[in-house]
Amino acid sequence: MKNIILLLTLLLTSGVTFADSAKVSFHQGWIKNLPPVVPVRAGYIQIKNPGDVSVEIISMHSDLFEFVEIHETVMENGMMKMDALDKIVLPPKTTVLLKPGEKHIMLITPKFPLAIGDTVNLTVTFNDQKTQTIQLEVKQ
Amino acid sequence: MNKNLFILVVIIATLFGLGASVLLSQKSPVQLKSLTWFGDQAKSLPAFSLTDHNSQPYNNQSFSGQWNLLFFGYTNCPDICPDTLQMLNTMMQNLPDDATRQQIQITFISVDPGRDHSENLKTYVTYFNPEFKGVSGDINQIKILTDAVGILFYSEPKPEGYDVGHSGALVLIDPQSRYTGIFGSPHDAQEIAHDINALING
Repeated sequence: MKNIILLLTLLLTSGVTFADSAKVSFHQGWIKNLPPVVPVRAGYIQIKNPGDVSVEIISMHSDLFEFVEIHETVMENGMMKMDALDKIVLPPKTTVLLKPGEKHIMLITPKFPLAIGDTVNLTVTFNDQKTQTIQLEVKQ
Repeated sequence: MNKNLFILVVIIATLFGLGASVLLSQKSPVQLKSLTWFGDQAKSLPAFSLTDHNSQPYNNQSFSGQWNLLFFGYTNCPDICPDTLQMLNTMMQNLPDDATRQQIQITFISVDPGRDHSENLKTYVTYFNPEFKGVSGDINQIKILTDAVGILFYSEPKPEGYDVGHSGALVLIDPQSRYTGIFGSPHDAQEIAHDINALING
């Protein structure tokens, strides 16, 4: 029985053709503080995928917000607008930056007032159905 | 021959210099870093009627007596709008002194009157700088101003909220209430501060 589990584990972890979100790491996550009258916040983070296979983030969730979406600020016909994206693709051996004026985490309708220094937990779901919980700090 | 050639070169160079200085003096009074300055082409603005965040009338007379930098956006924009207002606060801190700061009014004009009004605009704009002004009002009145200064926007209600798009440019109105220049995005606080200071202090 122990050997079968070991074999299964080896098979699962050695499969190079499968997306492996466990290798993905998140760094310097933060949320831009805004006065409480604003019902939306933008979050930014660095996402590293050191693996050999592309991984996708397909959804995000936070207990502190009604909805969490992935948005991108784009210039279209001389105007800036926000487009909702259905995923973030993390190509192999790259770092994807979510930063002001580009892709960002759109946090909609806070359930509690947030202040500078607060930490927001976010559950990230990948296309291999695994999840990771990450932290974003509210900053100026 | 050489002497004549030399004189000709001097004459041509002088004419070029004069021409360039005339052109420059018409284009802008000083060396500018990121402002597109209209100079003699500055245009007066049509009448419009909006409301500022203290529920006071805001119209084409509100520009008079100081320089005005207008940014068009909406409070439900969490990414680019706070970034621009934060940049404008940094820009104000980069101006040399309070006397200069008092001669420029930063105004945030909402293109989303369905959700923005005096109360939330006041909290929003003064969060970034207590001297900033928030303005909103009837969409048709906003359009009179945006059309006059070449700012594009759309604001359409959708089932799950709103769809809003807006130009990121900063519009400069002079103390005679004329549309006199524009800062295209992306913005640099130090370059804008340099240009504003050059216009105010020469």
